[in-house]
Amino acid sequence: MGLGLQGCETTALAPMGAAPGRLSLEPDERRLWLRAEEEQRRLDRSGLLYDDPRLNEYVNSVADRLLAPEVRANGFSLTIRVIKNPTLNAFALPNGVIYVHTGILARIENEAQLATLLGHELTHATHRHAVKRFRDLQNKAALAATFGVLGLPFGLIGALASALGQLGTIASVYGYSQENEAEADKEGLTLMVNAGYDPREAPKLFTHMKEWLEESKVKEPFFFGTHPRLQERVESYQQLLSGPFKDVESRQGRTVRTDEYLSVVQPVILDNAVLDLQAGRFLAARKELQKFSTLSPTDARPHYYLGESYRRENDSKERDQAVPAYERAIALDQSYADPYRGLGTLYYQTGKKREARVAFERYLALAPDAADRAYIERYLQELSEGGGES
Amino acid sequence: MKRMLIGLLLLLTAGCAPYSRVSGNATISELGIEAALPDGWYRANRVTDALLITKDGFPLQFIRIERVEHDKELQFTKRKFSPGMPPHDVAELEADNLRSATGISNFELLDNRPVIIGGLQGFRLDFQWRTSDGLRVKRTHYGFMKDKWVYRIVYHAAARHYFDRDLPAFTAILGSFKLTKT
Repeated sequence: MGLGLQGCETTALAPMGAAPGRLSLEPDERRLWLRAEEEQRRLDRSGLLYDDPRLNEYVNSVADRLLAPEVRANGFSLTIRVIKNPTLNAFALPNGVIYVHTGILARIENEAQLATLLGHELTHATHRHAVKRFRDLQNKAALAATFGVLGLPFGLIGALASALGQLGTIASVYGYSQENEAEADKEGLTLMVNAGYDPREAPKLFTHMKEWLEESKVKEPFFFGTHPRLQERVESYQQLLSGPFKDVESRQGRTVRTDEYLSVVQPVILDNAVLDLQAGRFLAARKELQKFSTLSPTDARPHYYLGESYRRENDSKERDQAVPAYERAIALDQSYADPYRGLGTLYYQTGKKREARVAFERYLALAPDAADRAYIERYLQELSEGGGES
Repeated sequence: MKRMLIGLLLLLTAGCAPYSRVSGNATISELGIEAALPDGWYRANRVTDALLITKDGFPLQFIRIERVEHDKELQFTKRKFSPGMPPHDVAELEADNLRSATGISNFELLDNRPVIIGGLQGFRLDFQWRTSDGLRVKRTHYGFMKDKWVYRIVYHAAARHYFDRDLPAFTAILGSFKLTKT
């Protein structure tokens, strides 16, 4: 395993910020941090990071508001990075680097919900859950058996599976003990409340993700992508709101910040829909495209991708809906070439030669330098050789 | 009698060998194809659903020819081809599947263009990525759809030294590629 943890070490460790002065790591924890830095480098070089400076600045500013002054005084710093992947996932490395998937950002509804998620993940780091988890497993002599093989079952995360190291896998797939997860819920909620956010958004986040998974009929391998784990979070936050946070809940003037969140995250919603489309998750893609379209009603792109989702699904009933979606995209932006290619391909596939030719010709007229020009020219040649107008 | 036994033993041993040298025109009836194979390459005999050959070992380079039924789920995206799918859609599906493969990073699709293979409309995809060991590899993937089959003719090699060196062997295979039946 290479982590060199010693046998039967205590899993009782004080959280960061409990004592003044620079952070003091235990020897095995220091090795874990070095490992985390290695994994971080691998992820950062993997080509999987989502490159949007405005989004990065925004999510880091939300996280920064959550970090308690006493933890900051220990010299602990926090960094958020976004990964291009449509699954519901976020995980923290022990050194304070938190990775959030575009899939989860696209489904979060407001800044308070983002703060809930980041607060939960931040607590895993500040409360040293990774080293506790490793010590606990080693004490049970189960470490090798549990994490010896990375056998994630879902192809969608394939490229990510090789970039995720052992720590990332534990954090994002297996999660921590129930006790540690409950602690992350409670302490995370405290952080978001201290930062002025409305705690009522916390259970809503997980309820919303659970409903989304059910409606989209997708199965995911990650902690936040599994129904029982989400249900646990919903119940845990509901208990906190009816117990220790009861008074906070009723206070007025708490921040939710829906518009601010959506204005920054809006491009992610469309990009993530395209990722879902590439992965063949058509229902999930459509839900996101509809959400994007509501936010940006005059944008033609979601209608084009909706058309693509219907055309590519290989279902004749769904395919019938492709034409109106492409036509809507064209109505919104007549200089937009892609819907013409979609229409051309659809007509080509269904034997409507004349319509296919008109659409392909229009596509090439609008996008003379299109990367797939050679394909389209070949189809046009075939359509003109074939004769037999439909 | 002794000679016959030795002969039989040699025959059995040869049949069980994991690799055998290839050379000249070959008809691979289980794939319904014919192609001229390069001298000095070895075929993996235990791979029965594809023609898989290498010169220096599979991590360094290989050529793989196979066909899959269109309604079989792709390995990584779990998507399927559909009958009558135009070549650019087939190419896109293949590229998306590879993009989602395990054990790769820094995936790049370098080129995607239409080609004619054995008289049929198909596509050519060029990729590069890094393996989990950090090796930079390049792949050229030719493909086309014929009836219920999607054919793949793939050349994969370490980007440094091997890819360019052995590309002519792949080009020769491609030039001689023919379908014998579908």
